[in-house]
Amino acid sequence: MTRAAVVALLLLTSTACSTLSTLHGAEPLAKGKHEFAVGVSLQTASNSFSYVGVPIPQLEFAGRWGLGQDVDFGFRAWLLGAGFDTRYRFWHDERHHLAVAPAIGGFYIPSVGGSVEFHAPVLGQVDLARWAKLSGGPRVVLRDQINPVSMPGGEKGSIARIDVFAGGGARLELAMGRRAWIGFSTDFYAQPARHAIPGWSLGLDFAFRKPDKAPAPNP
Amino acid sequence: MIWLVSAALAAEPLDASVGAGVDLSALRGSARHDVAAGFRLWGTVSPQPWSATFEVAVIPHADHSGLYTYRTLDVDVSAIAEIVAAPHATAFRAGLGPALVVRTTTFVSDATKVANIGVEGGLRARVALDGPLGKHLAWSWHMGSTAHVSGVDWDVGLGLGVAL
Repeated sequence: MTRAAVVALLLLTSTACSTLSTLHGAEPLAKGKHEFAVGVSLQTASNSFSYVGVPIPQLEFAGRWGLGQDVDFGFRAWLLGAGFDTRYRFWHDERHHLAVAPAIGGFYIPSVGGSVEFHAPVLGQVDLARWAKLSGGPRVVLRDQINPVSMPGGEKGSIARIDVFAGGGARLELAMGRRAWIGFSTDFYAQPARHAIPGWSLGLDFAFRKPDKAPAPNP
Repeated sequence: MIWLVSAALAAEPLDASVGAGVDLSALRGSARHDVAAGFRLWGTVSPQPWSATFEVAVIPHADHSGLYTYRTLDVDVSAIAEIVAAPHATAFRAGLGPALVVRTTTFVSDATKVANIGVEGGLRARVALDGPLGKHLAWSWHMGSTAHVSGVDWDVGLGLGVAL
């Protein structure tokens, strides 16, 4: 595949302005651990034309960093935008986890405008096996959309509105060897602030992280 | 950042706190939800695993155009019963409680000035994180929603307060 074809493919899969996909579960990385992920998804309601309902592809890159016991920090980046979150696990036992992950993100296109958004997902996770994790939970997203406008007389101004997405997502993570995971996610959000059509996302992602413990040596 | 997180996790959760913070709210308007910045006073008492949070939010907002100005001032009062989970100093709270929403509106154009005040009961739900900042201070983050007779408002905010 030529370089131009790769660039074209990347642009075609990165056309959404923001993201509604659930890219992680409720179990934070241990302190000092890192994770890198790449995700593709098909989404509605992830751009300024969210009321149209046309599914749009999105490509995003994500990283996480374990900061302390029960806390990690993550970033996500996509074409013309980025987001950050802090995940705090407030309850867990051996196989179950509950966390909250406040996030802020946004995108900007010069002379077109952009948005700033705030996420409040509450996540639950069940470790089905060492190689399978099921997670998900409710999430509210407040997206502040700002667009500059030019009036016929030359006067300039801006239009702002806030969109609300109330719903949730779920994901299944399966181990692919010791360091790689594949994730399948689905999200569904009502837009109660302006009675627009529901937003949804279907995603596929790959995450790479060091295993928590070294394997036991062969006897 | 690791130092900040370690410090935030090492202390004890708050028993009680009061404070104030800034809010970004989605207030229902005539055709859309407008963005409005406001401030919020809060007080929390926390006999774990339960807590009670009392809030007063003041949210001014104005819509200007060449023809008119439409001003609103919302004062929302709420009392929320919450469940608390605090494995470290940072506590997660989720709760529900009654709210009282007082909205003052003023419509001003060249020919007209109309003022109105409305009082509505409602229900408020929120999730929040809070914790101590050193010995005497407290921080808070929340996202909430208030449903009342004429609509549903949404808000997210950060605050700074005093540990009691």
